[in-house]
Amino acid sequence: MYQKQTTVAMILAGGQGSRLGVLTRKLAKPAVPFGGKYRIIDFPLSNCVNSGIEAVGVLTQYQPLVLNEYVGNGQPWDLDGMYSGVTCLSPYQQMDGAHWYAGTANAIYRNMNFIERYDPEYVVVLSGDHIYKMDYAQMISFHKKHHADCTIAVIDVPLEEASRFGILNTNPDGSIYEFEEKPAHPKSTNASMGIYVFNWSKLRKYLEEDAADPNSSNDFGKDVLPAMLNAGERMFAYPFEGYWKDVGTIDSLWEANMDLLNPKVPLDLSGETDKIYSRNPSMPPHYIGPNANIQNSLVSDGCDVDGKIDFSVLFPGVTIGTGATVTDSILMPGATVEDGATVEYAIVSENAVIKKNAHIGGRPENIKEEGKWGVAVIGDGITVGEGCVVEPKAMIDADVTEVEK
Amino acid sequence: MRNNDVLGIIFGNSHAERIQSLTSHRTMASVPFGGKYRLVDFNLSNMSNCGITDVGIIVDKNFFSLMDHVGSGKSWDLSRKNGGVHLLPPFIQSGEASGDTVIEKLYSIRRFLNDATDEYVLLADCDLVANVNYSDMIQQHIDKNADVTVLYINGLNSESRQDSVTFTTDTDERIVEFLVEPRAKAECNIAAGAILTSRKLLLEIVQECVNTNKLNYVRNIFQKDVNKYRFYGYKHEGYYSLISSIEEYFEANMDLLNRENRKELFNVHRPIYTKVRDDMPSRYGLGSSVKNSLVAQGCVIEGEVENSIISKGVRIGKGSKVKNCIVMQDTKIGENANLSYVICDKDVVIKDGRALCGYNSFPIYIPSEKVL
Repeated sequence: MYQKQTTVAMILAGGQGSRLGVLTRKLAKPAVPFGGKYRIIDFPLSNCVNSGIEAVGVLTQYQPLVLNEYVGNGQPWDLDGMYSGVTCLSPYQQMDGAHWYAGTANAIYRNMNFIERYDPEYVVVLSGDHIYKMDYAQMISFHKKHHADCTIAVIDVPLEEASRFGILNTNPDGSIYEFEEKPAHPKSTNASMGIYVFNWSKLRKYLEEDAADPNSSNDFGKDVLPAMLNAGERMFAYPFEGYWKDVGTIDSLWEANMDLLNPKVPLDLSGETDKIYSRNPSMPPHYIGPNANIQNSLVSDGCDVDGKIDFSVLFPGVTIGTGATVTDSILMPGATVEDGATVEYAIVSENAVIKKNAHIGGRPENIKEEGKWGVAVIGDGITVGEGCVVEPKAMIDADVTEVEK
Repeated sequence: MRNNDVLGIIFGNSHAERIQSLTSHRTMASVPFGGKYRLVDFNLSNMSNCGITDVGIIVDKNFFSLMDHVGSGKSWDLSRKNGGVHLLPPFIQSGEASGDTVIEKLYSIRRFLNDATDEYVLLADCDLVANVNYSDMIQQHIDKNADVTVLYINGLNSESRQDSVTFTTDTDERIVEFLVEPRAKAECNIAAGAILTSRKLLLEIVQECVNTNKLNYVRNIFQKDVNKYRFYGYKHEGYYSLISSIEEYFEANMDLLNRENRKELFNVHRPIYTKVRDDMPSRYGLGSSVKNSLVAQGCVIEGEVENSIISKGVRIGKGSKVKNCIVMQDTKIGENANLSYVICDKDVVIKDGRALCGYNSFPIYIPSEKVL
């Protein structure tokens, strides 16, 4: 018997994240390592726990192995309760046949039985690829206070960037009268954060209608939310203040990691409360060698550093050799940079090896030609040979052995 | 596949008197070590890594911090339906006195030993820091048809170790003579605080010792019965440290700054597990300078650190110099402080500009929660 839960959270974690290229070759976007010891999904999962939500579904579809294994029984997030906790929900065969999740709304629709077991009042729909800390309980109080059917969290973005987001236009009381997806001339700067609170009874009705509509693309943003608005349901925008970042691209993923090094960025992971939880590898503390020089960087357990590190994020088990230089870069678990190698503005994936005197990426000020500069990305397990050069903005998915002159 | 028919027993308090300052509020088992570990982690991990699923930790006092650390045993994969890790506080029946000797401690948990179903018992102290291959030791015990196998290391006997036991073996590793408190200066085989025997024999020996009130098992069993029982030694190869004084504790921590030692102790195939706190990675500020140091997670370092062990959640402010120190968890060191050869226990606060200087052979100890 499942205990009643007033709120169930559903995390959309099935997207391929194709814009992250080699980083999501073998794993889903929410499983991409972030911030020196976390994976992206740690943020929504920890937010749920810190907000008192005990029943969480993670909707997986693309490359679920790493994500399923990582979430596991939910113990690192205290989501391993007897009658609640976290469950990974993959597409499955039903009486009417076997279907992939056709869209975000369809993924929830196909798991209505999971939600119904808890007989909830509210369902929170979250994205598995955003970095932020948020107390969903406050958003739910806002939702209740306004007797809303649907509440959407919004963040104030600069006007010049507003046309990259889904913009919500609201009345003075906060109720929404219009959605604009990536408008050329935005009327407001309230960008949707992809965080929704629904009354379950209402959502259920609209999901069923949406599923019955053959012309629908089964997407929350494109289909379900406009349908609710057109039907005159009470929809409100919940203004969120604080740090929030969609890490769907190489540049934004790199930036979000670098934001952790900036004391002015309002995302504090060091607090005693509202921690971001994660699975922790069993590694000894990191060792800083006699020749090391580390400035403004994050370093995790199991690292062995004897080079120069500047403005970089080192995940567990990273090795930096003597005389190696790493600046403005992200080194994922188990990556190795051998003696004398240089890594600049790069993301080096898990267990990649940068051999002696190789050179990865470059500084923007050294690249004259416009459009040539960007963050270089080395795929997981890739070896860049001794003395080899990897250009800025390159995305490497095979071993590099040739030395460029 | 697990399950090797061995019950692990760890003596949580034994030898605590050797490092009194560190054990005034905690057990020997829960003495912090190496930036993120407690001494008990080495035995719990070694036992778990060899497939032991059933461990009892005998404690008699100061065991709050140990209970907190061990919890359900999950961190060592010892939270199990059958077996798992148990803390065993004194179980004293009326008319009995609890004692400090190993025999009395084992006698007080005789019901636990009786109820176990394992064929063998592995008894271990917490003063050994090493990655011991217990699987190999158990295999040797079975292969040699031994009654008792004693873990040993070959090295120089420490002068601060008053009650050490050494022994000589024949070419087959069978022990021919035990010595207590030897004054030998040369290298010898030193018993390293782990003994493997059968559960049935252990119960017999404990009962016999209690019946005859001969509570010193080394003298009355090991020495007296060296030919009656088949005693064997199992030699631990690789890094080890036997902690018998605060100076040795200091040295053992500093040993971790050596890459080879770390490689042997934190063997990737037999990891050392510990209870993990969800700290963020450590942050190095602009102007920080860290050389030859071991640093755990959750630290913010803005000053200078050299030849030191920095535990989780430590803060070191701008302009501060920390050299040859052990700084335990959540200690806050302000700005422009200067520490050399200092052991800071947990939650110490060193205010701006304070200076403290010990020496290699005499590290200064600051108790937990002290404000300087």
